[in-house]
Amino acid sequence: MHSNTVDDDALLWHQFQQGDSASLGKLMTKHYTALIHYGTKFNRNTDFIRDCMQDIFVELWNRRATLSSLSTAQVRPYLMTMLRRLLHQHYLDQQRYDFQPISEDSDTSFFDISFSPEDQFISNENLHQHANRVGQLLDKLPRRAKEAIYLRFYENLDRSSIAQIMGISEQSVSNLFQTTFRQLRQQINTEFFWLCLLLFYWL
Amino acid sequence: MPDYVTFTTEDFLADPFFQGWVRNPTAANEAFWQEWLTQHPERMDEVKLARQLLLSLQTEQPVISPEQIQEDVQRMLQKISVQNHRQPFQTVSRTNNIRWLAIAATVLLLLGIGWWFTRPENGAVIGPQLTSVQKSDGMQEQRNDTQQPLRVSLPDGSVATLSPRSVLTYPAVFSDSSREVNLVGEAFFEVTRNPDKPFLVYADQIVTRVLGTSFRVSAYPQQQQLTVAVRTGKVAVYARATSENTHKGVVDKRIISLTPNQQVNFSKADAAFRKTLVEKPAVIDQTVKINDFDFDETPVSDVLQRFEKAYGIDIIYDSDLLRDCALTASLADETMTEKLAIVCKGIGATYEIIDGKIVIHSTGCR
Repeated sequence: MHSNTVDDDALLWHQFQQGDSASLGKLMTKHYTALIHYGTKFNRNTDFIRDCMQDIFVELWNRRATLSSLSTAQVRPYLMTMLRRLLHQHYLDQQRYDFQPISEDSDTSFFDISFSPEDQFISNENLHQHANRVGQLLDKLPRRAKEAIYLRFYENLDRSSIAQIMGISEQSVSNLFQTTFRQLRQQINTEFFWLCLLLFYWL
Repeated sequence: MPDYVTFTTEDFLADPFFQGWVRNPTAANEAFWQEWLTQHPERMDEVKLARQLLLSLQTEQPVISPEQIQEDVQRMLQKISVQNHRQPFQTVSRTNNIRWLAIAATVLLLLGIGWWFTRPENGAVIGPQLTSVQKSDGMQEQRNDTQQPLRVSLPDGSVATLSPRSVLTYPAVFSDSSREVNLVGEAFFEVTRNPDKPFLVYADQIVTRVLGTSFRVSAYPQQQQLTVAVRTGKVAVYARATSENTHKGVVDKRIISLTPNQQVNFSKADAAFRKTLVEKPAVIDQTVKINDFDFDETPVSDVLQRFEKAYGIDIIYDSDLLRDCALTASLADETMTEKLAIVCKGIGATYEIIDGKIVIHSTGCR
């Protein structure tokens, strides 16, 4: 594809490790949106995610001498792993100390995403209803499955990166996808069957 | 063109050409996929599911402006440049610090033992005293009816300095999971650190939660505003649902986290928090020396970084605009706000406190 040497992540990473803070700034600018988007799936408080990002990049800077070098494809997953770890730690802390205002919905506060689409995305009424239904099915998936789907299809990450970020084996990621899609296909087919039956009955 | 015959649902979903067809159908890709499907009718199920999923995989993402990215990147760069100045000292002095701490602790211990054996007999306390009530439910109540602040030692070793006309209630023995106290009026707390047992101060409509820090809570019943001000460490503040504020329907549900020299005001009228700075920020970095505030043609960005370091407060400014600004001044005894006013006057700028941070407005120097 297009290889722009100036914005190459591996190069920026290398320069930052050599002590060039501007390169770290460029890396942050490049991955900022993806990190915030990912982070808000764990905690809706954007200000809090922004503070976490500060912590991550400052930590990277302080540890720059001991970090290993990364290839371009590894940089974003590495940053996402750091963010996830930090948010997970925060989540555990909250659970442990049982912050009252949060505990009301603490069950959903770790990786939480809604796939039910907004009207504006889909113009076709029929398709909309169907997609909305699929969206509801997706919303009911286990959190791990939702997170893997998010990383695969929003961030276009490959299985090894997803495995690294979520802290599970590559095989588990594959299994997760397989099970999820099999379940979805079954659910959709069953529903379709009942829908047909119902329509038939009505007519 | 990849071999679509071998594709699973997942592969279809990730394929840019397939995505293009579902999201932005054109005559060309429409023709391709219709043709492909008639050739491979057995793949219809996979394609259909992938298509439906792709249409469903829409989610609301927060909108992020380039300004926000710029702001946060600047903030980060500023932080690491401050840290750069600090780094070499920190690593060297840490081991030394521990040694000094050990020596200081030994001396304190000896002094303590000496005091224990030489102190006046019990009951010979002079001066104003707290009114202490032991309640039947095991709660201890301390009331300060005098004209001066008085110290209360809590069961866990924490100390509360209770202001006049204030009442502190706490259990004779704290529970296993937390340390909870009730405050009416005002007190300054110095909480001993215990990460396993958070320390919670319930005061009127707000709750302050810490693990080990020092901070002041002010909640006199007649005041319209409740405040929490932080001296050291980190503090979390949130509103609690009371009969008084829930029926109003609007309670600020945020958890406000405060760092040193920050303060939050909670207005009883609209049950909302507002974050700001304490009236007189104190120097929190103990390594700061008096002459650290002597400036001789010093770039203003350096000056501001020294402020950030000394007071632990974020200062937001446009480093490009301030590039040509330099300052010569000798500041020492002034409060932080006075110092800041002098700096701003020197470079023709103004400052504002927003959300517990200082924002410098300047048009640059030339």
